[in-house]
Amino acid sequence: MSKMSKSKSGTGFMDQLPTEILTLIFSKLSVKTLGRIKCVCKLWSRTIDDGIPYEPGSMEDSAFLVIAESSHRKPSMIWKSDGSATFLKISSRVFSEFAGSENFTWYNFSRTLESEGFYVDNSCHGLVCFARKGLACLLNPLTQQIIELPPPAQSTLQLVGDGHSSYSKYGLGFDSVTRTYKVVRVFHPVNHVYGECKKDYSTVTMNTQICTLGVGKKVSSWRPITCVPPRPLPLVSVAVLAGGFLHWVTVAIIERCESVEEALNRHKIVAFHLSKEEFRLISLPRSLFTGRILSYHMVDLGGVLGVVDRSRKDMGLDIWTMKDHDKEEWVNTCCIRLPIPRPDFFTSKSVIGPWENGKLLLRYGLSLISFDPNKKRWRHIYTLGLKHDKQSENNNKLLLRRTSATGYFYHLDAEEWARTELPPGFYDVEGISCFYTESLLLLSPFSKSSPFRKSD
Amino acid sequence: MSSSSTTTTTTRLLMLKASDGVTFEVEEAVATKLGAINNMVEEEGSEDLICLPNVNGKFLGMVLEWCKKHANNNTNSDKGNDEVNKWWDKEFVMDLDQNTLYHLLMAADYLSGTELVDLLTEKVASMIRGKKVEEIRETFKIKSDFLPGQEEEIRKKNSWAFE
Repeated sequence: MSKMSKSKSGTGFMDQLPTEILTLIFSKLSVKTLGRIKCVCKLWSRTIDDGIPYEPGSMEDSAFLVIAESSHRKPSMIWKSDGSATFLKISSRVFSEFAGSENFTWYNFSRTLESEGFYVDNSCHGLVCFARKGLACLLNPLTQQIIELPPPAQSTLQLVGDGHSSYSKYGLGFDSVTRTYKVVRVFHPVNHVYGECKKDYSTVTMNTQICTLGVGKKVSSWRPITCVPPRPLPLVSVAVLAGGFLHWVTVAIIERCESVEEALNRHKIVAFHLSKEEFRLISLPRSLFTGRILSYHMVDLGGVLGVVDRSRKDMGLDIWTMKDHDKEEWVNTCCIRLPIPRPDFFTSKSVIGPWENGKLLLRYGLSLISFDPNKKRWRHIYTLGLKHDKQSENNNKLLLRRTSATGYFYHLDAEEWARTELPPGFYDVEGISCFYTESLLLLSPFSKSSPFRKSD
Repeated sequence: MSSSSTTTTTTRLLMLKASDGVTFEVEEAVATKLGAINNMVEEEGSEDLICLPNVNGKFLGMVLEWCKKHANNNTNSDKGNDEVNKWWDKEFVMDLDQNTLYHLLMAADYLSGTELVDLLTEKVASMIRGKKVEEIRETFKIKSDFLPGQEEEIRKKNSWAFE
């Protein structure tokens, strides 16, 4: 255990500690400290690199993180430290490093993640899960560490069409009982997807596998479990983690053509308990099904599962929350009414997650908005100008991913919506948020002041 | 601490023997705060003398002192106990020199005293926080064993952590 052979001149004891103890000590330090103390000696550097990212909670000195991916393939990461309220621009090559990682050479990474078909699956405690054709990996954007998950057994890979995210899903979650991260993979044979059974999911055999990783532990291989989703339905959404469960929905938007009862029976949330490793079905709030169109999405509201109804005629958003998975009771927690950029139902709007001081972060068109549920007030959020965000003192991590080369965005100008056209690229201009967001993901919404946690 | 014997009705005593032959007589409820001893008691049952060849008497004594405090404080179910424990833990680790810290940590780890390991590793972590790389090397008497240029490379790669 202890390396007595080295017997250094001093009385230093750190190099004599077993690796597990050293890892335990390091797991209590912030990511920033870890980045610094990697230079102390080879042993420390190796221990930090080998150790799995960090225990949740050790990121407290970081406020929020913006990752921006541009079509110029010059990803940059901006990190705000909480104490000093200054922004650090890390001109890291998060994505290109990912692509250049030696572990992946056998898949011939010559282009960016996006072009190689990696897609962001979900995130947990600031770790992002990426998946592509049966291959998954985790990225810690702060340390730029990539954790490659073992490739699934060849026999399962041949059967599976992972290229189609709608038929095979990953979900990353944290099991607070064993204090390990778990990646759940739900998949079913590919011939059923393309064959005649395409629409009849009742004949599809679902499979579930789990890969475990934790602080100081090596990544496990994929372990099949017998529990599969209660009904063989496709899981279409990104996995949402809340209250110890991972959640997927089976259908998120439909034109109404069935009775409320029928719809309630057909459309469910599939939940996976991370400790018990069991699936269960959760019914959606009945009121979702009363309009002409069903359109909703799930959101993690600081550990509480939320469902956002965006099918309202007045373009508003209603948030339903479920605090206790065993009671399965939906409570209408918040109604959001905002100015409408244009009378268009399809203006994308969604709740991204809890924001500072009990507010909510929303995506509305191509703008970001914070909404205060108590005062019913909203504000435009300046993101890449960043100078405006000095008051932010929260642990919100936001991933901004840009998908279009040119476009326009709506922003709020003196309470009015204005449209501005922009050439490609990201800007650091005060007053406007210059980004094109097709996909926003809150990396770590463990906001302390979430209004939804009061009952705890 | 005469109260300790009166709090529980049937207090079984265990004899713990350290590597240097020093023995300690401890209440079972105190000693079983250590996972390793708890296992031995549960597995072997009747055995009253437990030999611990990997722990020196001095450090075993300190570990048991910590267990005693926590066992006592936990039996009086006051709300202030957490505060008392916290205050006492702080006192306990305050003036530990590095040699003692190391041996205590090894003893606590060997005896599976999870809470104590947590306390001691937190103490070490607190000695790292807020220090510069050079200060850390000095504190723990670590010599940089990087090849020329290697350290610069790591610094460059992690420049965000130095700002």
